[in-house]
Amino acid sequence: MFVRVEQEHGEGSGPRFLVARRSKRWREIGVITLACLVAVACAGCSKSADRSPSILLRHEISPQPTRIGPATVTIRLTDIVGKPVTAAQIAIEGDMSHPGMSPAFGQAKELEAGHYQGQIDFAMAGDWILFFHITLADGRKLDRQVSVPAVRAN
Amino acid sequence: MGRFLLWRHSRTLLQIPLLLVSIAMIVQGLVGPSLAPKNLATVLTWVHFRGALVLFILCAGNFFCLACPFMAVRNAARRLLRPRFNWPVWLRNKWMAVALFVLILFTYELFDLWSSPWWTAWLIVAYFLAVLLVDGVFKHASFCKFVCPIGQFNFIASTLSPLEVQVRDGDVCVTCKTKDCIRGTRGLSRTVMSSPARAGQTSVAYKGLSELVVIQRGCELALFQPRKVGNMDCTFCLDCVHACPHDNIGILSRVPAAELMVDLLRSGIGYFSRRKDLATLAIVFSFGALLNALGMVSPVYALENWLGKLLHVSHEAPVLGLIFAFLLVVEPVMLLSFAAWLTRTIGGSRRAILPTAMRYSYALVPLGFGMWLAHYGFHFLTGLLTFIPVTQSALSDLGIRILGAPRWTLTGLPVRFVQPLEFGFLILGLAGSLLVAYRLAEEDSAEHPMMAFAPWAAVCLLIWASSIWLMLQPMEMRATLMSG
Repeated sequence: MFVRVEQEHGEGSGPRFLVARRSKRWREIGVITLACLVAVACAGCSKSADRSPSILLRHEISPQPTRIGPATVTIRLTDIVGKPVTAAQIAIEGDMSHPGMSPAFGQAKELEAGHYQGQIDFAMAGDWILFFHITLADGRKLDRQVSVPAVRAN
Repeated sequence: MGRFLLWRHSRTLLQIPLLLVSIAMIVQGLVGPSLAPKNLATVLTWVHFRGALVLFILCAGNFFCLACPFMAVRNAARRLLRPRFNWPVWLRNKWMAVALFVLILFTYELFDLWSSPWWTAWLIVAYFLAVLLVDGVFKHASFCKFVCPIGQFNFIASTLSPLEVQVRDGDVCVTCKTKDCIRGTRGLSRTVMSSPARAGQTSVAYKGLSELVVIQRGCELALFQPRKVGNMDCTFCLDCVHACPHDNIGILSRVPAAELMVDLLRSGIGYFSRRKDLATLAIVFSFGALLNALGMVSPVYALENWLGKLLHVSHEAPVLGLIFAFLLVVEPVMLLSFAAWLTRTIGGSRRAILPTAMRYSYALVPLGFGMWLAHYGFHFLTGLLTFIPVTQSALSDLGIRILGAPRWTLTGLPVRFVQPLEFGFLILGLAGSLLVAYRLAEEDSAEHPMMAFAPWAAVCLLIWASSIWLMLQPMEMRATLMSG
């Protein structure tokens, strides 16, 4: 509507003016489309967690099957040749797959060389994800993540 | 507040923060942490947005539509592309929106949208694209009125709101000649006004000439204020407030749910009692509330596994489809038909069964809203502070540490404080539904209102008891329903 009015009465009237307006419009549409494509491209660039292969983590949760309430998490840390990794600090964090739920926290203590144990409280039934935030003796930090599906109601 | 809302750019000012938040949610949903509780897209969408929405509707009105970020983008796009077509006549109803509403509920359960930041981000992107596509092609607010599932949710829920955009004095409208509230205010465009040849001349001098354009929209949803009844289809956009030359329209208080008790000719809508699509929306809204909450409690997993074994299927879609069909079609049809038949038989109603069921279906809306409030209010209040560590984490990922390290221990109110509120919402919903049903029964059967009311009271009590049972079930949040 504005274009039509300007064509009739505006200072920059005439077909050339209209072409300029249209080309500007298409340029703007192009920019918006490009922005959308960049967003799509970004979708493939998700940040990955630190998954250093030099440290291996095995874990066990008891009791099995996992139920609402406190659970014992046993962790074994070894290096790539199977040697126990000692003197590490391991913080355990439990999150539900649904946002807005209270996370659970725990700290694992070293019982023997490379063998750690901690407690975590599953407050609700459902799918949980455990994060192990590990600080090695040399100060390196690692994160490991394991899923604990279908924690059952009592 | 009133002065701010009267300001012409108030809507834009409310939309901009939500638009920025939406962009942040899309970006974090696509490139941020894949775990839902640590991503803004999922936390803000499924915890805060839904909860704030229903609480705002309960306490005030349809303020989300007022601040809708999708409309901000649409308005900006309409400066580039002017729609040419009118929305097709055969689609001028709520059927498509109801179908999309059901589809969203279904995909929410099937794909566990709440657990996927990536899919949540794409849902928001899809919403923006759909708005641009529909309102880029079709004139007026076609998307809001005929397509938007969130909008339909807001429209039907806001029939229970205490605020409404209303005419202050009906007599002023009787003498009004221009009807700007629906037609819009016309005047000279800025370009013409700034032209040296026109400088100093008023728009009045040009009335009737081709350069008069709409400088302030009237209602894009075809609600003519003097004949508008209630909040149905009102987006609180305030276009009519700004367009009225007599300052005769405002946001006024009213009795919540009162509009469900009357069957007047409503501008842009018609009669509630004759709108099958609206009655269906009311039914889907009410029973959908139960269905949506059912997806979060332990018994549904046992039910799905049992159905899967019975039907020899391992995929969730057909089993979920069966549950949806039962709870959104079979159960409402059976309950409402039986209640309508009883109303006719023992209550002395002269209506046929279908119109009776349609008319009384609106009485279930308060109950449904009570359930939505209990469900979404629970997540909102128990997860109230979770956006803080997620925002801290998002900024930290960008190298901005002004908010400090994420405090993941921040959550919200303890469940023991929230649970009484949930029951309060359900009791409020039951009281509202019983009141509406009784008023409808009085209108329906002046001689035996109690007899006409009794079947609907029984339906309301049954739904309410189901809601209470649901709330007492242990919650179970699983992203893999049929894995055993």
